[in-house]
Amino acid sequence: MLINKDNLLDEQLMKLYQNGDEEAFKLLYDRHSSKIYGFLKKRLNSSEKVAEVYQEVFIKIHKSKHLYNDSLPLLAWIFTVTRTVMIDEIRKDNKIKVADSYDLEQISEELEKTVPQFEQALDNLQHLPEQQKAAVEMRYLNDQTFEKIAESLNVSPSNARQIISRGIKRLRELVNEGDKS
Amino acid sequence: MSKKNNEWLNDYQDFLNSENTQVPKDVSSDLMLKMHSLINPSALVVFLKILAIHLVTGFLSLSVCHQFGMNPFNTNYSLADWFMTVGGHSVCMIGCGVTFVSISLFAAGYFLTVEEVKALKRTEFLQNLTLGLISLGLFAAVGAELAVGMAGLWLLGSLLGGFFATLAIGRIKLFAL
Repeated sequence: MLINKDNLLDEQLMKLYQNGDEEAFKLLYDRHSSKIYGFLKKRLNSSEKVAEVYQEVFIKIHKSKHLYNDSLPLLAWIFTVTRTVMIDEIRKDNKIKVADSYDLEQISEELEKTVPQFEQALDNLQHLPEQQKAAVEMRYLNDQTFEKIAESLNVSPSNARQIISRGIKRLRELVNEGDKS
Repeated sequence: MSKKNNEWLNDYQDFLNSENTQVPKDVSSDLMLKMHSLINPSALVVFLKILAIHLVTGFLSLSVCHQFGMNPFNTNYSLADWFMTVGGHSVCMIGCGVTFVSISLFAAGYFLTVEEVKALKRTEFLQNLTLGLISLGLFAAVGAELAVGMAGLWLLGSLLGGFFATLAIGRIKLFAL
């Protein structure tokens, strides 16, 4: 009996694809490739890198398709694979500066939310101990990775993170003190 | 909700909203070519993979079933002796052929992907025949004395073993999903 695969749900198509059905893969590709490409395009800064990671995502999907459990929505699974591959690729690629972008974004967002006067906070940098000041400057003004900062300060990367975190905490306190007075 | 979950949800929302992005044609066609080769692996590549596994597994299997009197591990017990007791020379040859090839194919089945198992099934007879003939050739090369009739029975056994092993691997791999 011939099945019209166009009407099948993603999860049903995935089941067929898991059994090596190329047509099912093509249908899934038609349905979701633009989401994957668009998501990567917004986050990676060169079209070559987007194309490279895009291909990696599909290879990863292919290689781990047997791990997909059809009780979960396929789209969320595809997204998780996409995001994981993208983060792994960013971490691998030292040339691209967005390494640690998630940490950077996370910390920056936190900073911007809790310290509205971000520039004022930077003015207070001089009140920090020398090591903290250097670490925060390298991280937020020079956009350096934790590994690079750790190397410059001659400490481990996790120590570098701690130093920066303490520096940010101190800056926040300084700003709060400034607001009160 | 934790910050990480929130971040995941925001990204997911963003992922869903990227629906209208056009994937460049060259990126798409490169990818489809790559995926086509992954979904339809070459039968030759699959055979070479099986052959590599067979060379190791086949050699190790000589410890439990001596083929044409070859006993490199100097073991005292052999399935070949049991086949001989049960049904004489003919059963021994067929049984040895079945054992030799099916053990290797079962081992290979563990490493093959679903797509590779499908490629194996498509070219099953040719793959099993070639595997049997290469095995006989190797036995002859290392000094086994092969009589045509006996070798023919052994080959028949290897084809049977290959057929049933491929069938079983196909069922296990495809139904396991």
